[in-house]
Amino acid sequence: MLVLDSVTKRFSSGVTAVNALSLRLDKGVVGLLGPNGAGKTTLIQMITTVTKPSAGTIFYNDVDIVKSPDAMRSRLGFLPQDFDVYDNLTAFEFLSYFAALKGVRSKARVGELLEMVNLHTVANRVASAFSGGMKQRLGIAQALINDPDVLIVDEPTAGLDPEERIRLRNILSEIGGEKLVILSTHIVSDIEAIATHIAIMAQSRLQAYSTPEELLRSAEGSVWKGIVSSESFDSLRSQIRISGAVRKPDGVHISVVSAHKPFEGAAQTEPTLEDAFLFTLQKAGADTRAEPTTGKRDKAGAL
Amino acid sequence: MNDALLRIRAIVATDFILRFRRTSTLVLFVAMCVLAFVSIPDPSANWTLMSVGEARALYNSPAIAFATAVNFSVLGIGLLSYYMISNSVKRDVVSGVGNTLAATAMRSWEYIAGKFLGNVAFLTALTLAYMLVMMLMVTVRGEAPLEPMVFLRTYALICLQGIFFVSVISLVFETIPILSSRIGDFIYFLVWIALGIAPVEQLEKINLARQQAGVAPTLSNVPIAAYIDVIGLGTSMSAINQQIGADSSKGLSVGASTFNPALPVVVIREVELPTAWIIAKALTTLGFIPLLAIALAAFHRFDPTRLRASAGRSKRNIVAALGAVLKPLSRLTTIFWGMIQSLLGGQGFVRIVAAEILLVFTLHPAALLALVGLNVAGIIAPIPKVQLPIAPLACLALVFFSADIGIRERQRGSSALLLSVPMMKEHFILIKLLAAWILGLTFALVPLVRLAFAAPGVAVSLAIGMFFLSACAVGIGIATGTAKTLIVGSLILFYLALNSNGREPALDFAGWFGSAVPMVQVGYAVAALGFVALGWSAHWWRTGRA
Repeated sequence: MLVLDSVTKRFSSGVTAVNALSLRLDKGVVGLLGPNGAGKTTLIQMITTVTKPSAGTIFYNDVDIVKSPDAMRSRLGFLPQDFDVYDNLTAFEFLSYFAALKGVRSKARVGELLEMVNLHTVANRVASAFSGGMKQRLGIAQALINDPDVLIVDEPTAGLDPEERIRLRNILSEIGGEKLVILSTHIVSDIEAIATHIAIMAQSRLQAYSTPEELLRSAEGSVWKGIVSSESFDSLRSQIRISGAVRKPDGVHISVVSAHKPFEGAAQTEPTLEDAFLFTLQKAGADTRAEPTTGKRDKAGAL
Repeated sequence: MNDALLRIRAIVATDFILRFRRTSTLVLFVAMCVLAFVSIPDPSANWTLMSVGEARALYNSPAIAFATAVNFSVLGIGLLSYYMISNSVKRDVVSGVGNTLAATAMRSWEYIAGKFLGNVAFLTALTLAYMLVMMLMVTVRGEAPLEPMVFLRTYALICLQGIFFVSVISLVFETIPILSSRIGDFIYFLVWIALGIAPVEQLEKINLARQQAGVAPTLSNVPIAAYIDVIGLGTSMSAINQQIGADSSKGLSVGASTFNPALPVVVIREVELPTAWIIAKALTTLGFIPLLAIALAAFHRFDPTRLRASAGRSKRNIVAALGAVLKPLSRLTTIFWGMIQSLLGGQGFVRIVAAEILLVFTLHPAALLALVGLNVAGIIAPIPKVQLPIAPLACLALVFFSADIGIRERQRGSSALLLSVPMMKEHFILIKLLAAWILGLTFALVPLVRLAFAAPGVAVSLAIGMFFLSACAVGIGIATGTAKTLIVGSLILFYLALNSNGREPALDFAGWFGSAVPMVQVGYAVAALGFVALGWSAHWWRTGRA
């Protein structure tokens, strides 16, 4: 059980990255959603004991990990957002290094993990020459090498191809059955199939924490769809926030998250998780125009 | 093995592998082999490795071990190795691996201990490799049988303390934000002079006086200079002087020395220090280890908050503070940016070179101050003062502001952006070389013009010397990927040139003393072309093959 109580992180510049955040997390996959700059990475850095909170407490299994960080570190697997590797170390050597740092003595475990992330055939190649996706898979392997009780991954799908993303989601989902997995992302599709709980951060605060079903229910009646002409679309775009748009022969199919009917001809529709996320951000007063993105809409030609 | 030892061993092993797989380590090893071959000339040559007075020392194991260990300890360990190993924590920050390390169960003291032992292991391996090459030279050029144990004992006696000292101090400097900057590099250079050179004369005097008075060395009368002689030059020199009954006035010379072949050769025995001195050195060596507590206290453990604060503090040095004060001056460069567009719009090559120079002034407003200050001083100072100190200061400004001219884009990950500029990829070396050289010439514009009338030979030397430094900046920078090598190399060259005071024309590379003959000028111009070729090869290796 991970318990955060009024956790705050304030930098010397005066910027508050995380503001009085309280949360109780048990096993399962927790999707940590939020726009860029919401404070997700700073929150993760505090949970992983990389940095200390300015105020508040974090307990893991009843141990204050701010005071006794080893209680968390010994049971943690962490893949940071800007994970990279050393020049001149092979994948096997790199993973062996982290195995030693995490107290894993079995060499077979290194080979097992390389196979799991499909890097066993290139185990003796220098890891710095790997593609972004391969490096990310190596990062996932190092996070899992000590069979952690808490797995925290920050933007793990960056650089992964669709097949690798699915593979990663399956791994995380499997681990989440017995352990706590925190997956931080701003891409809703990364978590919609696997998250048991979703935490939404915006403007340094926790805006929502619930199951996906509860989150979807909260947005019911606030999502609208309709078909408009290209000309109307251009003028609508400047008046309301459009959460999705796809050009088709009969016009532009748009969806809008709004408490009121946004335009003539708009009809209420079932919210998706992304709609619910946008709805939460709107309630929080956060700028949602640039966020979030989904793989599906990108490929469908979002405008 | 418990978990802590397992982690420390992993850090040591990884650091060792990373360092030994670097191209620069291979280059260094090849350079060491070449140096070994060159520094021990054939006994029939007109110069030698070591001489006493005018007599040549016999090439036996004690002489070769002593002379090569002293040279290696002073230059290799005492100086160069600091700049080679003082980036192990930074590597973890820059590579991004530090974030991941911070979340493991590794404790900070384990990390510092691992890094320290990694430094010791690397320097010891480097020393052993150098020693083996020198032992091989005994079989090639030696005049007596090879005695491996003499080599081992001599190298341990002279080099071991330096290895520990540099391993500790580099880590301490690296973890303290202000000392981890270029200011720290310069401060270490001063430390090297103080600890390496200063004790020599003092120890010689003390030793001679005690010898004459018949005072036996004991633990209670070990001179302070012996304690601070961490790179072993003073203690080993005084021991050899005592053995051969010489002092510095009689000329014990280690390195390239001339000798009189008519005189009988001098036979050197193994270096022996009084037991009391050995105990004192061992105690001092162990005494360095508690200094690691400073590194431990200053270690940020990759905490982004502390890293940000560290970055801020490391910028709070004199140069950065000056840069901040002078920042408004850099706005003046916007006028020149406009001029480049309007005047040189059609001339791609010239425009790119001009832009490179202007970028230096925009990035380093202090360069503008140097430009104005040196040229104004060049107007008002008498010619001898223009030659010294204004010309050396202009050379120093050139080194300081162009040290990263060939690598700044690579360091910031924007090489591809730069190389996509028309003409840049094909003429990268030439553009960077010309930019650095012209930048240097602008610092010395007025001095050069005045010297051209008053002492044309000196003006030519200064221009060639600046060309040489520019070629070093580009060639060495691109080959090693760091500005440190150039800064260290230049500081050594400046130190040697200023110390020679013009007595050695070959060291007057920029005409500061007016003693450089045309042969010296041609020699530096050719050497500059060698560095250009080095830079070109390294650049081609990185980009041309793609």
